[in-house]
Amino acid sequence: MKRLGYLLGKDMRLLKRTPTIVILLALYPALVAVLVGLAVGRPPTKPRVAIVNQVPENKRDIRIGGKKFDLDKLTKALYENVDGYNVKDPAAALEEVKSGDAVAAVIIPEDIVEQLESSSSQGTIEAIFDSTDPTRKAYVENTIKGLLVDTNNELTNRFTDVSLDYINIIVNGGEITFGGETRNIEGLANGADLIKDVLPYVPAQQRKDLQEFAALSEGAKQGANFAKSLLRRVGQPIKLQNKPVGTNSSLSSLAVAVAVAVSAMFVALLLGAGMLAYEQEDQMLTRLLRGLAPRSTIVIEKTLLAGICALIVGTVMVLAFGAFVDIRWERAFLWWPAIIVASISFGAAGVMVGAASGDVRAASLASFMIGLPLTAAALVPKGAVSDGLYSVLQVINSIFPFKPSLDFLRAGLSPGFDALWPGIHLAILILAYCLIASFAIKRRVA
Amino acid sequence: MPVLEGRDLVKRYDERAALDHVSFVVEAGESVAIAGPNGAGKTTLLSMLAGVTTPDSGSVELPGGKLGWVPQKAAVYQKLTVRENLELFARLEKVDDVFGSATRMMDRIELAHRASDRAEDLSGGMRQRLSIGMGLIADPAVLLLDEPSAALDPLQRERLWELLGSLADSGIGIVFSTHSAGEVEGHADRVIILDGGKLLYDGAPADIGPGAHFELAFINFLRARRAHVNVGGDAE
Ligand SMILES: Nc1ncnc2c1ncn2[C@@H]1O[C@H](COP(=O)(O)OP(=O)(O)OP(=O)(O)O)[C@@H](O)[C@H]1O
Ligand SMILES: [Mg+2]
Repeated sequence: MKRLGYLLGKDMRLLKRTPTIVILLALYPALVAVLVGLAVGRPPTKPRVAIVNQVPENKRDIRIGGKKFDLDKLTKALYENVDGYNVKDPAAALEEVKSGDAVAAVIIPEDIVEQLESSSSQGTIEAIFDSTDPTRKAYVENTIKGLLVDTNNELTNRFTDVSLDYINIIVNGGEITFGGETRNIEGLANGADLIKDVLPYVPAQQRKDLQEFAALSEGAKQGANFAKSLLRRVGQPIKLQNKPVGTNSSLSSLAVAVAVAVSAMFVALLLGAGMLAYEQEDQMLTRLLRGLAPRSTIVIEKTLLAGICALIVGTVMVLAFGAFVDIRWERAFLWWPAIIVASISFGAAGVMVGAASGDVRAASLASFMIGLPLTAAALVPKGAVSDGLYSVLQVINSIFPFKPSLDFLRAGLSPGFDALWPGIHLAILILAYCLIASFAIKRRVA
Repeated sequence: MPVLEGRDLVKRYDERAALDHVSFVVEAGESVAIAGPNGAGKTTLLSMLAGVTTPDSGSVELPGGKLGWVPQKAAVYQKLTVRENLELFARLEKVDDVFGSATRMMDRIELAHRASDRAEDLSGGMRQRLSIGMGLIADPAVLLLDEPSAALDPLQRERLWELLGSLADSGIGIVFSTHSAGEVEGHADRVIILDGGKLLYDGAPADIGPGAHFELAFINFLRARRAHVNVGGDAE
């Protein structure tokens, strides 16, 4: 045990005196973290849109069919879906777009209220955007269309409400405002009853016409009721009901798990392989193995060394990710052990690679050549390849620690995943790697 | 008094004998050279005596006490200083006074003035002396060195032999492999000649046979033996 400590201290000192390697080992995971973070971690920020509202403050009430709507409420969606901000006039809006401060500008014309109130014309708003860059243009166009979808939905709902009110009045009667004049109207339902009441007093030959009219009124009433439900559907043709199935895990927890696993893997793999190969390079191994440190001590020491360094990197990464995505700190009792076990498993894998390669260069090259494709193999989703190939990948993934580490980390970071089996799996792998490494060292000096 | 005994040592690599029933004894204060062509089995023999390699059969005894081992290349940690290298091995060897024995060893290998320099900054000769110091740190009764002078210039070589001579004078048994006939002649009390894993000669260098000097005698000896016994040429 003491000798293990001496060797560990010696290796820490060696690392401290090889700053380039340490910097590389620290930079590499940082780079990976940033890339993964950019790729899947943070949702894209909302586009900035300059908004000119030319409707005076005191004229933002829209009256449709006697109902009052607040224009500001209608345009709320406009501000929420994008990072919307007010500018004073179209010239300023144009300036914002030209300078690139805003991806687009939306101008709400002064007469939008009249346009909406009139029963004959559609409301028009104007959008300004830079069309020089075609990809950007497509993106901005989609953004603006998306904006109007929400606003239009809102308006459709309100128009539908007004129409429904009208139909209601036609069927059941009530007050109606038309051309500034309010009138009381008898509904179709009342009309039919009224006709039935007066029918006995009407001369026989006119009675038939009236009876027909009463039937017509009844039909109109039913038609109106049908129109109501139809209109409701027009207001919201398809209602999306979200029904998530499977484990509820956020994308960000996967991103964090991948980033941590990838960087811990490279740090531990490279260090484990490199440091063990380094002992062989100057024949130090033959010195140590002469009863000074048995093979098992050397294998465990190098595994711990690589594991500790990877653990530090992995932990720092989770802490750093905490600034961008939600980390479940209360689950640290699970994700921290997951980082520890994963780091040690990568370390053991590295030591095995180092024991099999003769020198540091071969060991580092082997680490990369093994690490990269196996990481890729672990990230292939089911269904992306044929069933046969997927089974092969599963076998490969089960003998390399990346997949179980990823599973363990995910289980730690978000609930709903099994942590026990990946943990046991990794423990088995660690043991196997250490035994193989020890055997490889024996072969090497035999 | 014997300090090292190898008995009937055998080592095979895939049916090919790298060492074929080799036995010999090293006495205290004796300097023994192991000679032989490339692939003769010198390194195999030394690392087996050192306990790095386990023999397929046969045994190694250390009646005089511990054994010190100096591998072929200067086996030191390049990034550690002279003192750190010595102290690390003193600790691993469980020496009582780590600091004191490192200090004494630096005096002995004449590196006290470079105590806090890293091994990578030393000259080849200094590094080799440090490597020897690390093999000596536990006060062994016998010291094994695999081609200790191979990478040294003549002056450094002379200095190395002074050090090894003084070690032998202090009663330590010295066993070294070499390709230099001059070193066998000048610095060995006894020479063991290996070829194809077989021990062909064990005795004083002067008694090896006819030849104006050791190198010629050595070549004559090997030629004569290879003509008699079919060793299969250069074992490499
Ligand atoms: N690990 C190994 N695996 C297979 N064969 C080996 C191994 N080590 C040594 N040998 C073989 O054993 C024989 C003796 O090798 P050894 O290194 O002992 O020779 P040597 O006398 O030290 O040679 P040199 O003078 O070149 O250092 C050689 O044929 C060599 O190829
Ligand atoms: Mg050799």
